[in-house]
Amino acid sequence: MIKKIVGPAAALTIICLVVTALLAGTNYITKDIVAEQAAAAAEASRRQVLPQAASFEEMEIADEGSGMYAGLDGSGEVIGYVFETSGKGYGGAVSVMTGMTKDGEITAVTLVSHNETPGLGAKAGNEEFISQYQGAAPADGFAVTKNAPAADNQVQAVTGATITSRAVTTAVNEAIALYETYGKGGGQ
Amino acid sequence: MAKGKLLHTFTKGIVKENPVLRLVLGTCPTLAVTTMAENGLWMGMAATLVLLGSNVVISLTRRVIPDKVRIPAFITIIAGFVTLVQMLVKAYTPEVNDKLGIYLPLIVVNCIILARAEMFASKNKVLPSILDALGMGVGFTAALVLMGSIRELLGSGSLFGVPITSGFIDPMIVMILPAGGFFVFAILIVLANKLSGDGKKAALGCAGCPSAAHCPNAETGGCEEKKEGEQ
Repeated sequence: MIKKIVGPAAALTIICLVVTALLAGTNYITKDIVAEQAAAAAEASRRQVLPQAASFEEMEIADEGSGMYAGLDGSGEVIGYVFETSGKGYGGAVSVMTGMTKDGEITAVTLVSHNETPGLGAKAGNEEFISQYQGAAPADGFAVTKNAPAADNQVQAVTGATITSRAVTTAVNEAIALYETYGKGGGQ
Repeated sequence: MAKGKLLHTFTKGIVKENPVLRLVLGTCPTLAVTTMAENGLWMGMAATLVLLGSNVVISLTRRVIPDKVRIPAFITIIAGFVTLVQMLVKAYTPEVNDKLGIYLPLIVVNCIILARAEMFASKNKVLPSILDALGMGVGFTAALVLMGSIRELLGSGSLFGVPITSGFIDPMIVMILPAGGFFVFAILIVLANKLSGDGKKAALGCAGCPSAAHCPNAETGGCEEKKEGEQ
C-alpha cells in the first residue's frame, strides 16, 4: 500500500526536479538576452517619437501607470521628453507614446499596444489620424470632434471609432499634463 | 515496424487524422492566431517543436513513468518544453513573441500535445513517436497556414503581409474578426471530411472517430456507452 503511493510520488518528484533544473538553466542563459532585447525595443520606440535625441534617461514621476523619459542630445542636454501614457479604449487600455520637444511641441505620437477592433479602432494608429496631434501642444489638451476640426486643439475622430479616438486623446492629454508638471521650464 | 507503417505514422497527421480539421483538437490557437498566414506558420512551428520534444521524452520514459501519475507527469514535461520554447523565442525572435502573445504559453494546454502523448508516444518506440509528432505538427501547421492565408487574403487583402487585393477591393473585415474564424474553420472541416472520407456517410459514435485505431475502448463498445455505464 505504502509502496503504491511512494513509488509514483517519487517518480513525479524526480520528473519535476529535472524539468525545473532544465528551465533554470535555460533562464540563466536567456534572461540577459531577453532584458537586452526589451531595452533595445523600448529605446527604438522612444527614438521613433523623438528622433532628435541621442539617448534617453528615465525620470521619476508620481503618476502611476505612466512613464516619462528625458531625451538627451550628444552632450547630455535635455532636448525633449517621451511620455508613456494610456487611455481606456473599446477593448481595454490603449498605450500611447508621445514625443515632445522641451518647448512643448509634439514631435510624434504612436500607439504602442492596443486591443481595438481591426479595421475600425485600429485605424487610430494610421498616420492620417495620429498626425493630427503634431505641432504645438495646447496647454488645456486636445478635444475630440466628429466633424472637421474648427480649432487647433480639435482632433477629428476616426469614423466609427470615437471611443478609441477619445482613448488616444486622453493619453496624449495626460502626456501634456506631465509635460506641464515636470518638463516645462527645463524640468530637471 | 515495417517501412510502410512508419510512413503512414507520418502522413496520417497531414490529412486523414489532421489534428485541427479531423480530430478538432487545439481549436483555441487555431481560431485566435490565424488572422495572418505568418502568425499561423509561427504558431504551427512552435507547437511542432513542443510536440516533438514531449513525444521523444515521453516515449523514452514510458516504462519509467508510473501509470497512476502519467497525466501530471506528461503535463510537467509538456509545460517544461513550452516554457523552454517561450524563453528561446523571447530571447532570439522577440517579434514572434509579440505576434503570438498569450497563445505561446497556452501551447501547454493545447490538446494535440497531450493527446499525442497519451494516445501515441506513451505506447510506442522513439522513432515512430518522432514521426507521429512531425506528421501531426505538419498537419497542424498546414491547417493554420491555410486558414491564416484565407482569412488574411479576404480580411486584409494581403498574403504573408504582402498586399495583393487591398489596392482595388475593400477587404472583408469580418474575416479577421472571431466570426470569420469560425466561418473559415467550418468550411475547412467540411472540405477535409470530404477529402479524407471514403465517400460514405460518416458513422456516428466510435466507428466514425478518426482516432478509433488508437482508442482502447473502441472494441468494447463506444465512448457514449462507457459514459452511461459509469453513471
